[in-house]
Amino acid sequence: MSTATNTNATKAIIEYDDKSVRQFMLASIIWGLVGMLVGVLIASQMNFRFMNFDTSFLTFGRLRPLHTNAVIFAFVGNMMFAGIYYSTQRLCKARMASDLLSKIHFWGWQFIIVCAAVTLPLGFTRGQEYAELIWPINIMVALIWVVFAVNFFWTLHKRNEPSLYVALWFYIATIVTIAMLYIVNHLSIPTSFTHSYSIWAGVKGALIQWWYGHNAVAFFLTTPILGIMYYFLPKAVERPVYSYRLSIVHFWSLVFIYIWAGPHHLLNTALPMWLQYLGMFFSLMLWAPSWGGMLNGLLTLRGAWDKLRTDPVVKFFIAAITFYGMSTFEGPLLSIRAVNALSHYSDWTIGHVHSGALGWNGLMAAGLFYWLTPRLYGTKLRSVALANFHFWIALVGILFYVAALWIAGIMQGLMLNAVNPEGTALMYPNFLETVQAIWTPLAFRLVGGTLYFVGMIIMAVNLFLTIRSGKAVNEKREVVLLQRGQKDTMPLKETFINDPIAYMLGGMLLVLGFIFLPAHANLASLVCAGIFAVIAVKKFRQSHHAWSHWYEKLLHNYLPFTVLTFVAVVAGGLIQIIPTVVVSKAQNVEDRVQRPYTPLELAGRDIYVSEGCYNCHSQMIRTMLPDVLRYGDYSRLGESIFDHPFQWGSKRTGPDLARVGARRSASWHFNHMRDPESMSAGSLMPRYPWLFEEKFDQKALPGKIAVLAGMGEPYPPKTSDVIKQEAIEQGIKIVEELKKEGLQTTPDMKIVALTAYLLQLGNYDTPKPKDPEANPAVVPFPLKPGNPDVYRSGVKTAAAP
Amino acid sequence: MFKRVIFENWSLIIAVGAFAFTMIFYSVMVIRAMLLKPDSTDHMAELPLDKDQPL
Repeated sequence: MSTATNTNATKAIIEYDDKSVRQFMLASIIWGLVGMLVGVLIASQMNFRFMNFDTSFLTFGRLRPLHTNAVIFAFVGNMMFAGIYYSTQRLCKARMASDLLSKIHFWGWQFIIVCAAVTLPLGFTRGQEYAELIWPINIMVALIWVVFAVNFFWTLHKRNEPSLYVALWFYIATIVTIAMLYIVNHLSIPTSFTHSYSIWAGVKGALIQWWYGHNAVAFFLTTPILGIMYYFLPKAVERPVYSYRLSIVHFWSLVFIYIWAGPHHLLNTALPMWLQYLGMFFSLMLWAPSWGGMLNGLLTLRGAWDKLRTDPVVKFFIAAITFYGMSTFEGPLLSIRAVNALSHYSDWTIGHVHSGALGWNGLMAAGLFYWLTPRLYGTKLRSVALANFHFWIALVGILFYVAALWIAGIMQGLMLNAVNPEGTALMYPNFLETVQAIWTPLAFRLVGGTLYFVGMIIMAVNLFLTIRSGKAVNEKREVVLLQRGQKDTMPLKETFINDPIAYMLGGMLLVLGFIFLPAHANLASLVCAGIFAVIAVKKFRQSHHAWSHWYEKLLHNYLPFTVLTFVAVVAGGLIQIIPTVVVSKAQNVEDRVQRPYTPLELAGRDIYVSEGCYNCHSQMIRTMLPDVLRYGDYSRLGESIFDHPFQWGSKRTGPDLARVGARRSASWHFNHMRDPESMSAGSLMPRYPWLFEEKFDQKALPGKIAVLAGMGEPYPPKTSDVIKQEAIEQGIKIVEELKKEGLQTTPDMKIVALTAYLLQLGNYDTPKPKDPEANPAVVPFPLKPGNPDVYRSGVKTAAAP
Repeated sequence: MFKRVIFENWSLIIAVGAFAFTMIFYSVMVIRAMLLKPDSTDHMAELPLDKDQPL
């Protein structure tokens, strides 16, 4: 319905699509309960091995990905969509553009979650953290994300408010960045309907995985929730955000800096050092925007701190923002290489993640749902007392959880890294000794997680009773319809062809020239860059108003704004990924190159990935004395160069396996997989009886090897029959070796394939240098990346007396 | 120059360069935010509050 007024402004009554908001909110609560129940179960497995129930689909390795995916994509994902759908419509003064797209988005996302909940426990996985879902589900995620994006941007296009509030900026950054990260990291080549190999191998896979993994935290768990904070916190406290200017600085600095920080997940590993430094520097820089945002949120309560005593919504929001500040303080701290040497692979990291997930995401979700439910159902919250009880039990639960894992992580890290004063021997050589030492703090973690889960149940009951006391209502508003010319007036030409852009691009090109051009030309480029900067400053002084006008128009035009946001997030990724992809090839690596797998070893590796062994075991011996003393020579970049996907791991609930091949026999692995405690007293590892009953997939091997060879890995061409025959022949050798120890099995069993894989871990080839006489002082032009060792040895020779 | 990417000492140059690049970006954004007109920021900050009552 629309009416024309005297001032020629056309007004209309619009009804917001609050049904979608209700659906996403309820889905978030239900999946949150499921995800956290699984979390409590797998936490109990860290204390009580029998909680794995000797059942394949209940083991830690398969359930941990279910827990993380459920909490991230189902709980927080649905909560985020509820918040975005509600706030976007109000900020745009327009109903969501398409009810059909909203429905497809909601039901499509739930279908994806159900598919994940079925496939992950069955062992169908890509073997990369938070990127485990198999390729058909990946495609569905991408398609549904596009549906969401189209619906969102179409709504922006139809909006009746010319300005774009900062919450919408955060949503825009979320949509474009997640699309980019998800697609790049999930690029795979299928070998069957349920299996594929990532196109990224070894160090490339590691860098891109953590570029994705870290920024999934940034752009899925942080930026959309910050948008929700900037919209719902002012609503809850009935006053505007403390500083809108600070929110602008918060947005741009966070979006620009976050994307660079991924390599901090790979410190002290075989990742090239320059990437490690970049990851560390940018993580430290994140302190500033994160705390700027936190303070902006907390100070929004200025003059209304009394609400903190009376309003549970404000309690949840303020506690969540405080946890945001705490976890974003801890994150950069853990990214310092020296601190990371202690914390990485330990429970400290798990505690850090949960202070963010439970504290920031979980409490924001609770505050949002307590605020939304009465409004979406035209009623009052059933019990404020229950909501307050939820707050306190959740808060105590988080504190138990996080403090327990600080203690566990730091204690185990110190024990694992302790060496004698001479630096020649470990103080705690038995890994299990350190596992048993943290049993009590892990039990406290279980208590903390259970308390938090009980709080979630209380919230679900409270909201269910609230919903029953009311009736679903869709809010209606009278709005002034914007006409063409009143919004989005910035043409593309004006967006990209103007002085600020021209000077910025020109300056960047000249800086790139300094980096990439040969001697003398690079200096000329640097001088030109300086001159260019002086000209730009002069031009800015002359045309100050035009430059300012361009920027302010940008804030009212969603399309140019989106493109520039994309440029900001893509810069960091490209600078890290392109050199790594170009240089980190088998022909360029240093003294060791991985030996391609035999067919049986490949089958065993796929079982290793399928069982989720990477959730507890790393395959990366860091460049640290305690790691080398415990596990052997440090891992070289080339030793995993053909691994699709890489399996460096991020947590050591059990020991590193990078060189386990030379340390354990076939019979040891056989007995260990059947009953770990029989070989390692006090082990928490589950039993794997099904590996002794199920056969590995021989038929799939030729196709898998063809895919790997197609990606350039050095597998010689062989017929299908030869590949299968080689697998069985190697299996027979292992079976015969086992027989000598009185152990019985057949060569086509999964345990045989897995044993073959474990036995070869740590093997490598030593390639000869291609051109030892190369003179590093002469820089080839055009430039081609070469073997770093050639240059390095050349430099040493030249410097030698 | 590109070959220096693979030398370890180049790592510091990249990190410092990236830091400088980011600081420039950050400074520009701070200046832009500070120069925004007060009525513009007030209007933006009030957007979520939407004083009108629902129908």
